[in-house]
Amino acid sequence: MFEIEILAPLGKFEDLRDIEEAGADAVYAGINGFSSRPASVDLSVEEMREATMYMHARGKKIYAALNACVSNNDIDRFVCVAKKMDKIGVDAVIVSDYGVLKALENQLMHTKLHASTLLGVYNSETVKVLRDMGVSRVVISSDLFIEEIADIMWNVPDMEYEVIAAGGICFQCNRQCKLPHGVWNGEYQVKCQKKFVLKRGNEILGEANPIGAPQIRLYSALGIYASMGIQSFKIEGRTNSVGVISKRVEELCDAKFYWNEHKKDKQGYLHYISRYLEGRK
Amino acid sequence: MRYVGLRNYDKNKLCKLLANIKVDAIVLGDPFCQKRMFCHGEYDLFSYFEQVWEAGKEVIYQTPCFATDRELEGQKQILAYLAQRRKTWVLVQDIGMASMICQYYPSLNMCWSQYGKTRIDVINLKFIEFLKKLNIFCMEVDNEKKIYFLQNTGMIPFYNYRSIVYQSIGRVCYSCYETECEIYNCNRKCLKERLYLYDREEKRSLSLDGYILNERYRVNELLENFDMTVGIYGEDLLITEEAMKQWEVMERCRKKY
Repeated sequence: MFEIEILAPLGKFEDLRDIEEAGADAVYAGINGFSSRPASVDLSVEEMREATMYMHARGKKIYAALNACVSNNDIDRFVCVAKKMDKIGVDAVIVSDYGVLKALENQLMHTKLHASTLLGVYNSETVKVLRDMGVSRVVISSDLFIEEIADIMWNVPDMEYEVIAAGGICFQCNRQCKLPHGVWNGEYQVKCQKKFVLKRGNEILGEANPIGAPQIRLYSALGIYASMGIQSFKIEGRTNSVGVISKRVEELCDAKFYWNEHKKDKQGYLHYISRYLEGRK
Repeated sequence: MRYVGLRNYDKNKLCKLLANIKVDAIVLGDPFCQKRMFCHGEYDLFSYFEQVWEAGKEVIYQTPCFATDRELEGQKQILAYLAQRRKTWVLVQDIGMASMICQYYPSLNMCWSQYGKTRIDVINLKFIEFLKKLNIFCMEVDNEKKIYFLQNTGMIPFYNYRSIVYQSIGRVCYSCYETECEIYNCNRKCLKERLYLYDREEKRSLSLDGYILNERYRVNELLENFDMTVGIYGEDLLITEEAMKQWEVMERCRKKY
């Protein structure tokens, strides 16, 4: 039985110690210029080198989120940065562009390739394509239902899977949502979490359901996902404060501890998707 | 080739399109919900395919946007049916779907479609190389820059003269979610009731259009010097007729050049 991993975001180098001490098994950080988050929460290559040494000295892992879409002019520079990550011993790079994956084929010696949730993995055929491109872990799309995740894992068992276990995920399609999400006029706004009213013509029908789902906190169901074979549980939010991240790490660590104590009861955990699994047999 | 994709079809709309000699191909299949596009959901799909072929026009089948494993299973039947015909096009927006078509239905011509394109919004040469490996040699685009880029890489651009724009796309139907209605019992609520989300502070409305939030259509630039595949997505036939007039202008311009 594999060990499950609690994967925490690292937005600032100074936060590394606190996050590691909270119990994270691995951290991921963006690299200046190639991450899909603001530059203020990215690390420089030098900081990444130090963070890698720190984590490895404690038997833990570190991943570089190189998850921006890369234009033609930047591909060579991107490959160069990924090679640097390989050289300094980063355990994996998280990528979100098929072109970039193609460019990285057979380029890295030790560093593994992880497919970001931004790639929109909805089926096992996509996972097979990624596996053939050298990807060792797939971050499942955050808008998949549990039985759909089970489908993928059933069809391609020789792959590591990661889910987003805490943070801001929603049922709007990744990269296709154009609702304002970020800092506007100096204020952090998430348009989909605003309160709307539902109207039919000019008639107001009442308060609308919020279009953005509430923040996901998977720790209470971690055992079910772990029983299915999910290996890594990611906490979203590189822009969050270290206090928020550490609290989420601790919650997931508690859930992991409980799972380790009770993993003999795997069938019990799988009860909720057992009818589906029975059908598969 | 000039192709048209309507938001929804009925027999009358289809007949009008089939009678129009300016239309070479018709986009059939909704990327999110067949019940929204056809009166009887996917039951209509096969009979509409036949009618299009009988009228001597080409079918462009639009595959689902959220192609889960269960969805892929369901698609195999449709793709196998289409693969028996020559010159059928398939709009794909999912890499897994493209890989499956490449392996099992190689006779189908694939085009990397609008929703796939927005999912991977920066197109680099390596990505084009990757698409070609999956047997995809066409791509829907909506601006001149991308047309030049694709032509230089040996890809065939499908220019969207009138393309869909939106605020967001959901995995669940916005109309059903907001009205707390079961999807199997929706009775095409998204078309029958025009529902909006209204922001009191900004005094702005977002329309609920099934799986799309605030669906609109944008008329792109008229590219008269290009001789290529041009597509138009429309809300109803009136828009399409308006576009036909534009096409006539385009044709006149083309002759001039």
